[in-house]
Amino acid sequence: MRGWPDRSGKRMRAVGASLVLGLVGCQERFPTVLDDAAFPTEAYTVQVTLPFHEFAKDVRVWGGYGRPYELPHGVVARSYEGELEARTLISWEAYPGVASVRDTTGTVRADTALVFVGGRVVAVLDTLDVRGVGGPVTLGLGALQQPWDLATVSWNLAVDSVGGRVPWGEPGAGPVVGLGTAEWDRTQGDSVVFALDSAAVALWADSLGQRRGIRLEAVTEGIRLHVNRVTLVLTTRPRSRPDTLLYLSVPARERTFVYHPFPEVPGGEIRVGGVPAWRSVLTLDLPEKVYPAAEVCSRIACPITLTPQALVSASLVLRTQPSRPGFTPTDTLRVDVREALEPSRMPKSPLGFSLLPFGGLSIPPARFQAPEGEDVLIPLGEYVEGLIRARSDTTMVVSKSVVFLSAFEPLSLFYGAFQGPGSPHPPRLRLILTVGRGVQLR
Amino acid sequence: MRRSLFRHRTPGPIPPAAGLLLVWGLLAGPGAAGAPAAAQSVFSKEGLGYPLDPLDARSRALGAGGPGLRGIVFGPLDPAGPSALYFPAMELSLQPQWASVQGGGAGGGGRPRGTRFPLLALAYPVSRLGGTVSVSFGSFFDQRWETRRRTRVELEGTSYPVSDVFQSDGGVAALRVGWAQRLGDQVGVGVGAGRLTGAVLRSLTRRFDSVPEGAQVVSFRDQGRWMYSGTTLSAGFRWDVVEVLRVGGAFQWFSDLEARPSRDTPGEAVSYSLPWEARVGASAALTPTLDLALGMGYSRWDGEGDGGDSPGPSQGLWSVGAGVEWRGWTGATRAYPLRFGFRRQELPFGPQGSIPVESAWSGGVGLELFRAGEEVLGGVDLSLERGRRRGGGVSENFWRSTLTIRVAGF
Repeated sequence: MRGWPDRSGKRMRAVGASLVLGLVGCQERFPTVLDDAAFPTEAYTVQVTLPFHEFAKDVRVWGGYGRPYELPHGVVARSYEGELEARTLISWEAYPGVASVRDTTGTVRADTALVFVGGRVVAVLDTLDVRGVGGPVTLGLGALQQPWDLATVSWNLAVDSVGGRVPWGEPGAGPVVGLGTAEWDRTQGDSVVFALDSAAVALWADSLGQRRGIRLEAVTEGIRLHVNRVTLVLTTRPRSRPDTLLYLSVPARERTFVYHPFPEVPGGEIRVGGVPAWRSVLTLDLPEKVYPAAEVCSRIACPITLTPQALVSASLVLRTQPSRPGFTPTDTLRVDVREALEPSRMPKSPLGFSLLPFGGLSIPPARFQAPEGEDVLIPLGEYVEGLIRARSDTTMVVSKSVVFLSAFEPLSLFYGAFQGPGSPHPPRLRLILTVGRGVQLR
Repeated sequence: MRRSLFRHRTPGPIPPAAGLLLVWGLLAGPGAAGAPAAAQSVFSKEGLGYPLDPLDARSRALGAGGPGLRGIVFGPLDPAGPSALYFPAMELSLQPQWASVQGGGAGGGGRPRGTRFPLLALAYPVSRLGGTVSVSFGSFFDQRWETRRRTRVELEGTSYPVSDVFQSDGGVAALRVGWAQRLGDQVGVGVGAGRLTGAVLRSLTRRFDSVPEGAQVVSFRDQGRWMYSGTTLSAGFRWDVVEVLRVGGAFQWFSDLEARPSRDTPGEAVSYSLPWEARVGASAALTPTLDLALGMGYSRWDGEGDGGDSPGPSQGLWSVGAGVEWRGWTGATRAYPLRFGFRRQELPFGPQGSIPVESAWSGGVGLELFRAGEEVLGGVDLSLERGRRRGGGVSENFWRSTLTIRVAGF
């Protein structure tokens, strides 16, 4: 009878280690044959461009998203590009009621008996985004005569709410009490200063006056400027030190701007951006099969059924067109595309996540300046693939409506305009499809 | 009181066991250091793939894989081999391989590599019946390969470069159950039955190397998956003519190999006819420390050339091998057998319907870990082969190593 051997733990560990080493060596590199003749199957890639009526139902433009006060700057313009007028409105915080004063003994005391003897309004302007003339420009300052509502103020209405509308005494946020003009040369700095006398600063000494605030406008024609910040600096003579002048700052409480004319959306235009911002809603209706060009059909079976596997690229092609004068893009327009989750609730439909990578597509302003416009490709491959999948997968819910909007709302006064249905260059859907002969076993 | 043979050993500098395993690990596992490990062959692309014999390291080193080897042998190519077992035994083989390809339309083919597990076998004697039951899972065909090309597509007047890759990933293996019966001390017979199993995934991927401006382009992929099934029967004999001479023979029959598409794969099932195989072998102890092994095999194909339901040649294919095993290198308590061999075999599938020939010189060493009397009950065998395959204008040089770990008497 044969005996049973003893075992050594050390040797078993050595065996285990060698197994590990061998298994770790399981890096695979497939044997490769570089031989065209040996390719077992074939694939054909084609491009099919669908006109609007073959892939979409309609486009609708909705406006009113955002308010001018939400922009990080105000705007002043006068006959910019022959049309645009814009004025910036500012209301003030309350005047300071106390100032710290060092008396003749050197002690710092709080002086509440402040006499405002004058002041100045300092406006900080954007020296980079100056449109129109190149040299010094003249700006005008006026004291508003009536209160206004930050959220609803417009060129013609000081208040535009459900409870009532209050028009301006004059269109354009007027009338105003003129407080003078000042010249600004951007080569000399970013600030323009308006000197004020005691009567002027007294206009805003109470809360009603503070709410009325000021109107800043351009006097020089053909320009457009951005107003970054406006501050009121009060000159006061404290009673405890009547020989001393103190300068106390009063920040702006509210800032907005009004403009004219309001760029109504003409029929057949797709619009994105502006303030209040516009969104354009495209409703898709994809076909089940597409028909490539005749010469392509000599090589592959036509029509081609749209399947997720066959789709390798889908891009919406929009042709830019000039915006209304005064609203032409002067900086990059960042366009985002999102699903409208409840299209029937537009303009208040909730939106899905962005369908574009990196949060949006950047379109440089030059693309909007060519007279004939330029094509802009908006990649929608993943979304279109989802639409195709949803046909057969009832668990997938993909909205057929997508919204084109500015990546930030509002972002700018200018907006991007594209040719819509009925235009010479309506939107098109460019598909790149690959069809194969099928993978067989032989 | 039985004295343990393995306890109380004083550790020496790099014990031979660890050294042997370290060498194999370095050969087989350079993937651990970032270098390629092993691979199969560009001949995997032809027909049903590259045939992988389920041989252990000792058989590989001796060149004469198959029946008639002296010692503990219980692989699927020797159905009667387990009849000589008196202990339960198990063995596992790993086989890394790397190759370099030249010639033909293959445009180089590169340096394929990969690791396979050609054999996992278990044998259990049933002393009451005088026989041994065995189970083995061994390789049969390897179908891993890929082909690439660069081409251009025309999209509305503009040409774009694309890269196409066609890849095949899979293979066929055989799960066998066998019974080997001792007929006295010198003769044994064995029978076996098994199922062929496996799958292959074939895919085409097209990728754009540059894309139209502003477009986002994803890769196109088309694929199909098939599952293999079939049946195999085998029979064999072992005859210890005299104490120093053993001869053996084996016969294998295969049913048609069915390839059924998966649910997502269009198309019908395909059936392939497979050959029958016969092997004979012998091993003799020329001296107390030197054995000679010889082996020969024949498989009969009834193919129609490349492709079709009857792949492979319409002729028989031969394999021959010979080797020696020398057990003169011994330690205090065990021997380290050294093995050398040569093997030549004809392969069933080659480019343009050719019959490739594979020839390889081999060497190997064994490490006896456990011994009971004259029987090695546990050990590790390592083999290394250097060979070449040629056929249809394609030439492929390869290195192949095999590690077998065997444990018996548990």
